[in-house]
Amino acid sequence: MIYLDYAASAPVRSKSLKVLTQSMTEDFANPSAGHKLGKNLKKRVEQARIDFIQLLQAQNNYKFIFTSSATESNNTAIKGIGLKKGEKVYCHFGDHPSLIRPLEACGVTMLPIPILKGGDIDSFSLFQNFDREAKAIVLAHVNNQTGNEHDILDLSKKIKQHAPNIHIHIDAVQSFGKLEINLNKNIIDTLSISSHKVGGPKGAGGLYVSNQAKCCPLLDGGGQCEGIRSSTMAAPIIYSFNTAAQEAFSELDQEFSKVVEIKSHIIKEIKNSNKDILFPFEEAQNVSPYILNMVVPNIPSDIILRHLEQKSIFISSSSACSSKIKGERPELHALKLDGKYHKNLLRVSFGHETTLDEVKIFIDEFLSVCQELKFLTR
Amino acid sequence: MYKILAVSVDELWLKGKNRKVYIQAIKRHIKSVVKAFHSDPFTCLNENQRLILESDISFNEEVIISLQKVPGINAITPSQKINLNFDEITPVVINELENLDCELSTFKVITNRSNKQFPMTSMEMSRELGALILQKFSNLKVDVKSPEIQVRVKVATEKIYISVKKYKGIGGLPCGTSGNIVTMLSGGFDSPVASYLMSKRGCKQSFIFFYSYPYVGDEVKEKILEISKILGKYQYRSKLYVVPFGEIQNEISKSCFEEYRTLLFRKYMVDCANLLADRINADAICTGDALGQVSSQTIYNISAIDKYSKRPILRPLIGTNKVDIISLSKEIGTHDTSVIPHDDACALFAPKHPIIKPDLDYWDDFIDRNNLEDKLIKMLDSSECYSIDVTGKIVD
Repeated sequence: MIYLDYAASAPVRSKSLKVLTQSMTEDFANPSAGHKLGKNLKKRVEQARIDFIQLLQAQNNYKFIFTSSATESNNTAIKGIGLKKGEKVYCHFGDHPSLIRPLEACGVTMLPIPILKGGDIDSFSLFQNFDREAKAIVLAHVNNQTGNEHDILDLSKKIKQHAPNIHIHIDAVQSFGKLEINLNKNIIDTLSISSHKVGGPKGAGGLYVSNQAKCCPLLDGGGQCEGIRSSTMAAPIIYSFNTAAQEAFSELDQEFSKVVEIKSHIIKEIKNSNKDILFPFEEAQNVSPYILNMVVPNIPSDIILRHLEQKSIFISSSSACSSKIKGERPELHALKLDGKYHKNLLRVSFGHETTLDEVKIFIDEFLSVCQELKFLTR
Repeated sequence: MYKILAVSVDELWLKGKNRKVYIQAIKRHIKSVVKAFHSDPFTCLNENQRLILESDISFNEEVIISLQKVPGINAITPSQKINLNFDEITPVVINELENLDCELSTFKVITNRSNKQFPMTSMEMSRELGALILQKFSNLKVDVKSPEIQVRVKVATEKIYISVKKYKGIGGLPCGTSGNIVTMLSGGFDSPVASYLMSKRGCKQSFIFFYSYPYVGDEVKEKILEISKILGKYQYRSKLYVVPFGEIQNEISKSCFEEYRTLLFRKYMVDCANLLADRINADAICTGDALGQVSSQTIYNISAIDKYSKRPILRPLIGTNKVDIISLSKEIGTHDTSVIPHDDACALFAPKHPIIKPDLDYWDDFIDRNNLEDKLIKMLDSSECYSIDVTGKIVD
């Protein structure tokens, strides 16, 4: 099997799995319990919290909240700001629905962050007419579909110069454990991450909350996680998530170099063999090396996906959460992708188990499928 | 609820000497439907052109709803049974009328006295009962021509049966009495409606679906399964065969003139349906074709297809307009599934200018040069088969 859909989910790291299974057996007590069993678990959860804070150099300025998913983190962050109906919020309509839907639910006026062809943010336009009344800006560090990477620190600094009290929420799901993220400047107010994208178990996410940021809880209950997230702390999942995150960060540089090589190899080989295939987001300034998009004109991408799955090669024909939707898609328009290509977009994404050898097999099989299906494009 | 359901059968008066066979078929079907929804013992007895279902425990609504879909049933009449005593009739009728939940205003009493020993005549009974009803319900009026409520009193040998409600069945002939057919299903509106019409004409059906994976995804197969489950309710046990077809479509597409693609797909689909018919002893193929609806359904294309079919191809929708097909699909319950958008392999392969009148020299020559029988047999061998019971459930 060749798995190239890491942006949707990654295989669980073996260390992480070991921690999970062992902890599931042994750590059954409630971390909030008054006895020794519970107290020990609580201590380890608190240590994990500190570990996560240290990973992004967020000491002194941030709280870290464990959640059940990045969707929950995004909802907590956005709904926790206390936005009023009609207030203005900047967002990117090409981002994941868990960033857009909560804003819709709040009834705010959504101001689109201007985007250039290729998916970069048009910062010139953004700051030329920046609306100082905006209460928040919501953005993914790396776009889950295209891989477009935005310079969140530089952007946040400029935004705060225009509107010092604006709340900046960053979704770092596709970059956490893959790219450098540093919170030591304390400009970003909230930042969400996910466990299963870095090889941890599903069912865990996290939210960094700056001490100066407003964050009202979604759930009322026992008051765990400093009152921001009531729920019994899922100790085994938290430990396992922490293990995956630690491993991802310890291998960050070496993994980064690996995927840079893999991605450029794919682009080079495919460009050499098939001039029809397009790379619509590679013209952008910054694209994560972990994600690569391709367009095979006139061949619906899900047909290619199924031909490859017959050969046990797994890729994505769009973002996994919306792959059932047919035809043109508004989020791809927001990413400035020509409507005629919306059904033809393929995403391959890489991670800790990806090897150059398997990518070479993918390239051969992919090119042969494109060749095989060429008769459809006549 | 009712402990007695009187089931009247449709068209059986036409059948003369074959009547016994028809009654047996419909009885078997009815019994298995009732058994599926009614766990208590019941009897099913013939009585003057009707079948009387009777149980000590009331039949539930699902029994009635399901029986309405059994081909050959004209109507289901839930009934009360009383002794041969006129005085017992009125309180039962009044109670029945009080329980009618809708606001109806006209009625008629219809008495049928097969037991000539009973002291009152039908006319006398109807008249007297009608008067009593009028006394009790000031809002009701008599309408002998088109009454909203028909109060039926049947005086049989040992008992009197009373009913005020009647549920229409789909009518037609009992399942299997017109033979076995293979029905070609697609994900659209037409073929399910065609299947329904042939169900009404007494055809026992096996459904065949040509699954163009990897050109289409499994959501299409799920859709066909859903449609088959609905159609299965009009059948006495049916089967769905999902035949992998993507490879053959690919092969045909590459070897024929582009404009012949769709027509040739259909030709080889019909071949495959005939191969299945060989295996399961079916007598005909059924499709949802309507003349001229799409390019593959021109009279010339239909005749090109028929030329190579080993069995007759039944096309119950041949003269039906699309809007009428869609409204029928709403009636039979397949509309909401058919309407779900899906990837259509035929559309994907569809030529820019599909052939409307095939060149028969090319047609014959292509078929002569491309005998795909071995491949079709292989595809049929690797097909998935689902059995569907009378309630529309997939069973192992």
